[in-house]
Amino acid sequence: MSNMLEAIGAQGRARELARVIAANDYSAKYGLALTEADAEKLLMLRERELNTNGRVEWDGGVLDRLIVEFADSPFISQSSYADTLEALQTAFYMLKSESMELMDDDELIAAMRQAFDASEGSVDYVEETVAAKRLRPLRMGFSDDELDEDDEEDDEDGDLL
Amino acid sequence: MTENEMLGASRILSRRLTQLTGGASSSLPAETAETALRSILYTAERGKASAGKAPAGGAAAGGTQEVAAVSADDFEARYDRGLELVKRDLSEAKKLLTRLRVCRFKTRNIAFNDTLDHGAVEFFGAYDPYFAAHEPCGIIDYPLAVPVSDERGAYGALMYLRGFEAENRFLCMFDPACVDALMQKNSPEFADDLVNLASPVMQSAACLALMGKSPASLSVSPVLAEEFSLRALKLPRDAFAAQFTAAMDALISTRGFPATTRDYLATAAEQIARDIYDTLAASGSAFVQV
Repeated sequence: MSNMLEAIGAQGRARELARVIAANDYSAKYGLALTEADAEKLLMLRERELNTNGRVEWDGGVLDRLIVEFADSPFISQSSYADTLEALQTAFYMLKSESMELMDDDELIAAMRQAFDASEGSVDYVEETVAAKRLRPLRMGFSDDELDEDDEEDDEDGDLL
Repeated sequence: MTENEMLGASRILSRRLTQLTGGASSSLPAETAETALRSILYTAERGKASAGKAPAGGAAAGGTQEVAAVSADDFEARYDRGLELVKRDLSEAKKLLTRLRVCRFKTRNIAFNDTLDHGAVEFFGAYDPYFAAHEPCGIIDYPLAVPVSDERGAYGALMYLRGFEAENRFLCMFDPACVDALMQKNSPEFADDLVNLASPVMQSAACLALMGKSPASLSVSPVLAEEFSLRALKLPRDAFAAQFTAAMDALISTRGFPATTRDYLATAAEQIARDIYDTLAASGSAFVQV
């Protein structure tokens, strides 16, 4: 059974590498690019994160989406680009597991980006804040709309997220 | 599994998981993916097993019809065929349940009634041919005289209900009050117990028929039981089973039951006959209810 599930992941791997490399075209506008070696390493680390979090991924992953979402952040530089993406990818799978499937990929990535900028580029803060302010309330049964209202109130109070 | 089959299964799984998340997530807990994969493998196996033949003509008919053969190596074609059959099994089983609920045998046995009123209904309500086609119908309580060999999925439910229907038809040949009295004699708490009704009825009916009495009352006196036991033990086991099965066959022969019902009752009769014989041989000459 696990061989079959690994085959699913492997099916998406080649496509994902091509997509990640292609995402360089977009991130280059912001002075960011991954080497093929970086991309391969990140995809390998993705496998580890999936195993750690007991998840199966198909049809590629989210790395290319993380690249596009975070490329224009003023808190990412080329010197730490690959390391930051690695930390963001790790945070994504951890948060995704904690979300108990209540938040879809795009919503989660958007919440991560918001927290990332609010904390001036701290991935640790992203993990803590998204888990505390977005995921736990969702698991307690609050709707997305109620969460958005809370966010607006927090913004008015000067909170980061 | 060949590499081609594995690739085919992977492609179907990818499609199913995308469908499951509505395209909103590209990953899922491994447990969920495993359940979906088991469902796919079960469905493809169902398609493979059916290559050339498939159940046809409604639950009562229980016959087979030719279906287009699928290549053993084409996993996706096998899956598509299997899914078609799973859906057909499901539809037939639902129709059969509806029929059974209308013409059920009247009994106080709770498991018998609950299976029709709740267990099977809940199974059909929760059954998902796309993501959990292999799930067994575990919420069905009433034990059949001949347990279903493969309880998985809609096919297992259909086989179970066909057995139930055969027993129901057989029980309907008798006065519910007589069946009630017989069951009460065997087990005073029979209404609450998970017991099969057809086996003791079949045992008493066949016993009376073999002793030249009318089986309608289902009432076997101690003297008759003793005589039956002695007579039975004079025969070899297989000969006794053959006589018992023939008596059962004669009993139902004028009822116009479909082949599935006759086959099921014949299997049950043979099994019950052997159980009776073994019990008699082990415990002397006493007639023991199954």
